[in-house]
Amino acid sequence: MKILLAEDERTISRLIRQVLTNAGHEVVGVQSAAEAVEHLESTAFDLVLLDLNLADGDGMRVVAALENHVGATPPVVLMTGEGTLDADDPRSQRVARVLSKPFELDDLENLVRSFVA
Amino acid sequence: MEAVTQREDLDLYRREAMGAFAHEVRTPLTSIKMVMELARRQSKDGQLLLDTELIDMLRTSVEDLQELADDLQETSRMERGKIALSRGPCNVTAAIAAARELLKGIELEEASASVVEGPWDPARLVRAIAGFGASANRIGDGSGVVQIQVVAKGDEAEIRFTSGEPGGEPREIAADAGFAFFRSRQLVLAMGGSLHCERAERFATFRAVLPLKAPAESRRARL
Repeated sequence: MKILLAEDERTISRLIRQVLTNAGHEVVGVQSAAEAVEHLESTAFDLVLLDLNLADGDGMRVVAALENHVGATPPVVLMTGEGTLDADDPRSQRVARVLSKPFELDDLENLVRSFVA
Repeated sequence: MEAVTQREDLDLYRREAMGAFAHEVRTPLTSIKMVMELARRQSKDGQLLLDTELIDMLRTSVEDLQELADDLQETSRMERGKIALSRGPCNVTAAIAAARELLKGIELEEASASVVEGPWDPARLVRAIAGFGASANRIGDGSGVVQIQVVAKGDEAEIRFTSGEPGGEPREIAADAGFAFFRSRQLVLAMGGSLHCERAERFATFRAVLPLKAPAESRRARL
C-alpha cells in the first residue's frame, strides 16, 4: 500500500516509517498539514495516517480538504494524543479510524493491514 | 461577582493546562513504547538490541519527559508562590534574542526595536517569550513566523505576540495552545504581570503586560 504519513514528531515519524516499510508498504512522510494537502492533490495514496496536532495547525484541515475533493479519497486514520476520542466526537465520525497515543506497534500494523484490499 | 469570575477563569486555565500536559506527555511515551518494541523484535537470545539510533531516540524522549515534569513542577510552585524570582534588570531585546535560540523552526519577527528594560527574572522571561512564540504559532496560522512587538507605556511594558490575521469566529484559549502557553502565563503572573489573549480561526495574539517597577517600589510609589 502507498501510505501518506503526516506526523511532525520526527522520532515517531521515523519509527512508523521504519515499521511500515519493513512490512512492505511504501510510506511518504510529511510534517505539516500544508504538505499533506499538497501531496494528496498530486499523488494517489491508499491510506493516510494523520496526526491530529500538526505544527502548522489542526490535522482536521487535511480531512476537510479530502472531504472537499471530488472523486475517490483514501481512508484516514487519525492519530491523537488526546486519549480516546468520544464516539460522538465529530472528528472521529469524519475519519475511518482513530488511533490513540501511545499505541502499540502491533495495533498500528494490524490497523494498516485491515485496510489492505 | 468579579472574584467568582476570576475563580472560574483559574479553574478553566487549570483544566486546560492539565489537558495540554496529558496530551504532550503522550508523544515521548509513544516514542519510548515504539523503540522498546522494536528493540524486542530485534532481540537475540533474550537480549534487547538497541542500536545507536534507537538509543538516541530513547534519550531524546526521556529528556522531553523530564522537561515536561520540570515545567509542571515549576508551574505548580509558581502558582503556590513558592518560587523566588531573580529580579532584573532585564533587557527585553536580549531576552527575545535568547528565546530565538530555544525555538526550533519558529521565527520571532520583531516589529519594533525600542529598548525596554525592567525588573524581571531574565531566564524566566526568556522561557516565557519562547513559550508564547511557540504557542501563538501553534494556534495561529502555523506559518512559523510570529510577530513580536515591545512597547513601554507608563509603568508597564507590553510584549505582544501575533500569528495570523484577525477575523472569523472568536475562540477560547484551550489545551491545544500547548503546555508552554500555560507555563508562560504563570511566569508572567509570577513576575507581577498580566496576560490578555485573543484567538480566532488561525489567528492568535497574546499581550503580556509586565510592570516596569519592582513590586515593592510600585507600592512605595502608591503610598
